[in-house]
Amino acid sequence: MSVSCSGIRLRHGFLALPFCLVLLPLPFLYGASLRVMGVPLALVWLFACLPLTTLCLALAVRPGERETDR
Amino acid sequence: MMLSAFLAVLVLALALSLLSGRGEAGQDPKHFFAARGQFGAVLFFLLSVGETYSIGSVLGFPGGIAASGSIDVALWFVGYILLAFPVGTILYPRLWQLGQRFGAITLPDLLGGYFDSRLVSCVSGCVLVVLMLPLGTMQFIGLGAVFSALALPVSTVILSSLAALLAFLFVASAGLRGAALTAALKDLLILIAIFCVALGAVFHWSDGAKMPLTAVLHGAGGRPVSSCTMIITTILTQAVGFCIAPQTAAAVFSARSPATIRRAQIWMPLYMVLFPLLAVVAFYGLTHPSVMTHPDRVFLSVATALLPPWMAGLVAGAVALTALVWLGAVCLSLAAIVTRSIVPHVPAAAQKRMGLGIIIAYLALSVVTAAAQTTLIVTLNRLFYVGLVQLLPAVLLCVCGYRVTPSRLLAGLAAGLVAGAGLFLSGVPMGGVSPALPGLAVNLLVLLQGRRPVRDSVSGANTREGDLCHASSEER
Repeated sequence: MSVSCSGIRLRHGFLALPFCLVLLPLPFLYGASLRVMGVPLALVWLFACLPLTTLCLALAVRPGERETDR
Repeated sequence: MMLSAFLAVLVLALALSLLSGRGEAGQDPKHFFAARGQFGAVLFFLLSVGETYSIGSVLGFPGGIAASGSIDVALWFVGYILLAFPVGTILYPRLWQLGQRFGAITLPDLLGGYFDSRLVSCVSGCVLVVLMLPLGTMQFIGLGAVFSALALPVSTVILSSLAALLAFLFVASAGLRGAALTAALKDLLILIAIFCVALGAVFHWSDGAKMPLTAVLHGAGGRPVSSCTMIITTILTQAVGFCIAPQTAAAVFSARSPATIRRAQIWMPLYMVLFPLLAVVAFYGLTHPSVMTHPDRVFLSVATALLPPWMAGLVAGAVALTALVWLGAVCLSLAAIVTRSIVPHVPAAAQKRMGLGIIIAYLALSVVTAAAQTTLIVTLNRLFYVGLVQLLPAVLLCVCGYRVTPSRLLAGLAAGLVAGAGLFLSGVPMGGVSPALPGLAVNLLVLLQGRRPVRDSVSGANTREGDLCHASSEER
């Protein structure tokens, strides 16, 4: 049971990670004057979060699917 | 040539839809409206990811950037769709399980069943129907832009009426299954279209660029705190709202199992990788103002200016198909809500017939309102979410296994709707905070006043072991 609960906590942690990646840096990046090829850094970072979010979801879902298969 | 390519796309989509409907006559309305429990990971993915590349995304996203010359629209637009996926990964499997428990194919079905109240089902159904009216308008405004790009010598109202007929045929033949199969063609075409237009923009960047991107694309404006607050609160409210949209709920109930949903959810954020390319098209429009005739049309204007006519026709066809397929899914959700939750005691045999009549009425109304409507697509999109998110407390009570009395639930919903829509429409400055949030706060205040929600005995037993464990046992 404790293994199962820690697994669920880990899964929820991976699901919360995209929120941290997108929202926490936003106030700092939004005001930054740095640009990448003319594009403000906040937008570049948000686009970088697209594959990172897929990675987080893959890590979050796999433990659940393993439980299903067992 | 452009018109031929455009028509070829629509004829192909119609043929696919009609083929998928063969032999499906006389089917159960639950299968027609929601294809309940029929879709594996691929069809569920195609159906539920539809909103990612709706006409609001393909035209509204680059249009919003081009109209404002700011990254604000891009930040909240991409942010909310992206963060809806982790929310959905938790929420959808629980909604699916509850849908199985109560035999639901729509959100009002589920709420009515869970709170054991016909009134809750009816009121939440009415709220969703009212909120869905601008969605149809939004699609037809976008279609109007496509017709303008084609420059046909026929009035937009007549062309929109023909488009409405096409959308009706998409769903009348095979219901949600037809919409899902057409969505596969739509997704393939729209991916090709976005890639080609962006590639064209990159290749022709140096031709006639009036000014550098840094001069026309602004980062933080004069009031960065207020703008940043607006972006963050809009992302938060709309990410959750995205997950309880009627067409999303219909897609969830169409999935075969919670595992199907989770598998599909993983790949959805990666499906958004074409948004940077849409941004490139907007940037091209900003730096080449001669190409951009109207902000909402920047994507089509750039396509017409840079691509050969047959390819521009293909792009216009793909964009039109995006609107039509999405309209089809929304129409089916709306028809299911009206026939099952609002009109009392409709026999199962009559639900499909009545649903098709409702779809015709909805499409006709959308054509008329689009002809009179001038508001930007993104504004309509935001208004939808301000109202939709007021259903969140009711949904959360369901998925977390708590109950309140139907009267308290409805009082909270009414208070939240009045506060949220009132603040949005009045334009009262709130330091950038999305009007949905104060509305939600009022909603919760009314809902939690006096007694605390009580634990639902069945859901409580399930959630004590954790949602994953429960899902596992159901799938076995």
